[in-house]
Amino acid sequence: MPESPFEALLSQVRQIDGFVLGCLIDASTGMVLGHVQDRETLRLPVAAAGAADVANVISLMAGELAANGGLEDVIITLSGHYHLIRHFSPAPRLQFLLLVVLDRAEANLAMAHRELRDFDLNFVGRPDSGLPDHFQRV
Amino acid sequence: MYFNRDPLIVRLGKLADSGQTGVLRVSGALGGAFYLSEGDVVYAESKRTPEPSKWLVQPQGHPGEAGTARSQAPRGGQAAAVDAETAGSLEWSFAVREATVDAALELLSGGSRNPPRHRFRELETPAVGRLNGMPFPMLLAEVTRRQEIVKQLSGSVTADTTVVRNPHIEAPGLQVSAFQWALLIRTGERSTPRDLAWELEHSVFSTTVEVFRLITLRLLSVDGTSASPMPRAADTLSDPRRDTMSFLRAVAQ
Repeated sequence: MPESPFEALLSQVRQIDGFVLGCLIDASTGMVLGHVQDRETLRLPVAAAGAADVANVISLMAGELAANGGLEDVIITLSGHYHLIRHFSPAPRLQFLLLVVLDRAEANLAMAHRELRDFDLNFVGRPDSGLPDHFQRV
Repeated sequence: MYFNRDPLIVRLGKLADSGQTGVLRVSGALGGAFYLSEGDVVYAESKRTPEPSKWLVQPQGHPGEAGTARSQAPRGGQAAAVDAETAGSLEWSFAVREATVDAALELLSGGSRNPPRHRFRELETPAVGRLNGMPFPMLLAEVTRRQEIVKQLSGSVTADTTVVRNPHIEAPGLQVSAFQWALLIRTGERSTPRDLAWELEHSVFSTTVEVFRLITLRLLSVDGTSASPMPRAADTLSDPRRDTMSFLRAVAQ
C-alpha cells in the first residue's frame, strides 16, 4: 500500500531547512491526519494538540473581534524550536492546520515562513495536487 | 448464528493483532461494523453517524451536488462504490478517515449494561476504494482522545443535547466560519448536534465541537438555559473548566 495522501503532501515541507517535524491536523477535531518526522525528539500528539488549541483560541478571538478574516498563520518561538502553524484548506470543505517544527539553530525563519505560504497558495489547482479535476474547479 | 462474547474492544484488538481481513459486525439498534484489512481498520460505520459518501464527496459527481440517492440512503448503510481516482484523493481519504473514527467513537463508547453482540466474517471488504487503513492502536488512541474531549464538553453540550439560537446577541459584530454559519441557519426549534450532523452530512463529533464553539460565542445556547448577555463571569466563577475545551488536556492526561 502506498503512503497516504496526507504523508505524500507533507513530504514537500520536509525540504525546509532545520525541519524536525511536519504534521497535518484537522482544524475542527484536532485529529492528526499524517506526519513526517526527522528526529524523534518531540512528542507528536502533544505538539499537534498544542497547535490545534492555539488555532482554536485565535479563531474564537477572531470571531469575537469580527476580524474580517480568519487565522492565516502563527509562529511560536521556543528557545530551541520554531513552531509554524499554517491554516491550510486544500479543498473547499477541508480545513486543516499544517504544523512545521524547525530547529532554531538550522532554520531561516523568514525563508521557512515564505516557503510555507507558497506551499499553501500554490496547492489548489496544481497538476500534482492529488485532487481529481472536479475538485480543482471548485 | 455464533456471536463472540468478548467485549467489542477486546475482540477488535485480537482481530487486528492476528492480521485479519474481513468485517466485524455489531448488532443492535446502536450497531455498525468495522472493516479490517490485514489487521488495519480501513473503514467503520455506525447506525448513529453519517457515512462518508453522505458528507464530503459524492462519488462520480460534483462535491456540491446533493444527489437524490444520498438523501434517500438509510442511516448506517454501506458506503457507495467509488472510482479509483476519487478513492485516491485527499478529500475522500479524509472523509473515510473522519467517518471511520466517528463511527468507532460511537461503537466503542457504548455502555456496559447491555454489551453489543458481534460476529466476524472473513473476506468481506467495504466499497470505499483502495485506502490506507488505520492501525488499531492508532484508532484506539484517537477514540480515547475524542472520549476525553466529549467528557470536557459534556458539562455544556453532548451530541444529543437540544440547542437553540440565542435571540439576544449583545456583541456589535461576530464572525463565524462557513460551517458554523451553516449550523446556525439550520438550527431549528429542537436541533441536536447529531441531527445537524446528519442534515449537513458531517461527522457527529466535529459537529458537536463546532456547536460548542457557537455556544462559546453565545450564538447558540442549550435549550432551557437562556444565555445571559454576560455569561462568562458567572460560569468562570462556578466552574473554570465549564466553557473551555483543550485538545492538549485530552492527550496529556
